[in-house]
Amino acid sequence: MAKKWLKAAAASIIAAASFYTINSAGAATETLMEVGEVRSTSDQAVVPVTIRNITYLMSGHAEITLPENTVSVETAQFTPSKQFTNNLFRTISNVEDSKLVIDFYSESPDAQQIKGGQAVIGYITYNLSDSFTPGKAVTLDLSAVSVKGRYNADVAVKELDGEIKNKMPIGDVVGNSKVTATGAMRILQHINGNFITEKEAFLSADVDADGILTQQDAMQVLDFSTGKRLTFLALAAKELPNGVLKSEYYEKVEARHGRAPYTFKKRSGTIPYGLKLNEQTGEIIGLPTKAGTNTFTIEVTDAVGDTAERSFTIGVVDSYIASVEKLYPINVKRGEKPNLPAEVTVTYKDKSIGKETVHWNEVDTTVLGEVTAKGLIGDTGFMVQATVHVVDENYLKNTSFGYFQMLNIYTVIVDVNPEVYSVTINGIPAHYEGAGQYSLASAAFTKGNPVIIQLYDKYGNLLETKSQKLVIQ
Amino acid sequence: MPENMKKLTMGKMIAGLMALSIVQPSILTEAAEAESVIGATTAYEGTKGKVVTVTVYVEGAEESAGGSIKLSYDDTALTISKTEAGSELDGYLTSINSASPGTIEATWAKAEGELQKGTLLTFQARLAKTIEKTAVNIEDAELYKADLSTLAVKTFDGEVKPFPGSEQKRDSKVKNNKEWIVRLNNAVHPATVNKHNVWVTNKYGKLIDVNVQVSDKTSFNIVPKVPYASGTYTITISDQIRGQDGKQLKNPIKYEFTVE
Repeated sequence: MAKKWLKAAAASIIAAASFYTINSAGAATETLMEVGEVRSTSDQAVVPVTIRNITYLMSGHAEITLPENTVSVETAQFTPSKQFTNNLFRTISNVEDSKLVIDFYSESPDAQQIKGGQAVIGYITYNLSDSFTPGKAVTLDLSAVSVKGRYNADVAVKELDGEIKNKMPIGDVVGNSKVTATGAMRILQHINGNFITEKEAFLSADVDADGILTQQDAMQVLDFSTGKRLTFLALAAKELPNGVLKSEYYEKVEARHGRAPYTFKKRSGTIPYGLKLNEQTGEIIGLPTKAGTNTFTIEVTDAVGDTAERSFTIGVVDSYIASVEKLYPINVKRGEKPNLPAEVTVTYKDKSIGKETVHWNEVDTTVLGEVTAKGLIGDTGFMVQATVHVVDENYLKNTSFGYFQMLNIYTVIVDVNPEVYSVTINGIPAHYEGAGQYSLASAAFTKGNPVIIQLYDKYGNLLETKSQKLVIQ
Repeated sequence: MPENMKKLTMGKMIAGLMALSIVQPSILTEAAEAESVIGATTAYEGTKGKVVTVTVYVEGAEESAGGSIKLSYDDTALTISKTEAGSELDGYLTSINSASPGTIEATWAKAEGELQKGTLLTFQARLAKTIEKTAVNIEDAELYKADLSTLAVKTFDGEVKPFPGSEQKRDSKVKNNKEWIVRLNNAVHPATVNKHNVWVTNKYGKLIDVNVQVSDKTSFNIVPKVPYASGTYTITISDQIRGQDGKQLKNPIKYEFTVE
């Protein structure tokens, strides 16, 4: 796509203006058997097996299998839930190598009524070895599902595979591998100034996916721990950039903390004329045809029928600028001023390219997390945005470049802090040289052009993105 | 006079004395005093249709900044009509969930720790049938220090049942600043001696503000915060008063007295 400026203007928060609600067990009516997607940082993971959207249940069979040759994860046991161990059902399970087989039968000649239309059949405990390292994941393949309902009739069931990830569960925050009041306490301590600086813990704490930690996150953690909230499904907060009349617009709203695949729907308000929401992807695409400001609410539904919604605003302006160069997110240390570009490359409506000066607004960097920097381009009325990550660490300590004349190859060398676990340069993994140093040599690097350095933690979270011009001193 | 109550006697500074016995002899341990207690009260009612209030209290031994409890009850006997965070949770973020019949879950959090002594939660329930006794069990209870570590917690389950104990009455009138001292046959668990398990009501059933304090290992006193107005009052001593070994009082007691 030629005009990507709106796509480029990075994701950002809209905390104050956002409207956020969440519901559980929405409109999905197809009977589902679901193996949970579970995160754990301990030596065990407990994965629920749930049947949803069913009124009567006579019997059922399911097989859950680990990928072949998996050694880091081992099936330990299956524990039926209370409902499947009392007088309602007789539940039998058997573990053979990597496969767990579950069978359950109604204890009466009639099918049992399932209150609320869903029930947890039981919990699978998996033992996780040391080789199941941070960031790793295994799929729990659900197969051979058969379910009989009322009058012993077969029920068509959609199967949802499960997953175990070595990551901190959403809402855990402190590394208990479960959601308790301690997560909320830690968030409140963060708000009081005892900051959560580790990225994985921060993302685990940001349950409402608005990029910052507030009392709302703590409250949702408490509600989850008492069962008042059954999911942390959220639409990520985003300050959507302006559209330009008759210029291509591309943006995307994203779901967090639920079960993919997701579907997106406009619940209320109006999306600017000419733009359309793709209900499968969350993309907002089109050619705006009318100037003005539109606020609308999008609802996301995940694979198990949970829903969440958030409101967004898009302003459409009439400008001679069609698009702006892609601005990467910028890291800034808390309390410091972000280093935002004084000018940006723009594409005018007549397709010509030029440079324009940006007058950036003040950016509040007193709170850790994401903030949006906004700048006006000259006197055009055109607003440019950049995501600013307020952090407590400089992850990237130093970048240097080398040149092998014989081979005509440039080398990029980066020194990073200990929290960095992997580095990519222009999307290619760099080699670890020891002592916090990574390097990559490539004929694809060219003098004077920018290289994009991205730093990740051990869980695979992006810590920092830096665009740096390749210059040999 | 029931066997668990000795004669009313006079002490030097004491206008009256009740002596109660705890069922089992107890062994005093320092550990019992160091651990925090979360307990549920007993509501004395057994008639179908009546509404009862059960309180969950905390007697913290150390500062805590958060916690959680999970109560279970027989939902064929009790129908929850109201749940409310107690005064001890003022200033805490709190979540209470009673939507699932048979359980009530509550959790609370704050940034900094403090010593918690008081009411965590109250709930009202209507008796769905006439009962002899139904339990309010504390299935799970946690208290967390501000450093996010866990505190040792002892729990005492509650009950709903008709009042099974003795009802005594003092014939002579007493002064308006009357201090009652209750003496037990065995050492009492001090965390259970509180206004949730010992209370004074006037003739209309209204609670009177009193201090309930342990005076030594086997006795506690009941002192009005402001002098009683003249009239008739009842002291209720719940069987949730427990010995050091956690055993309940054999029977609760009601003791009526009149202020001159």
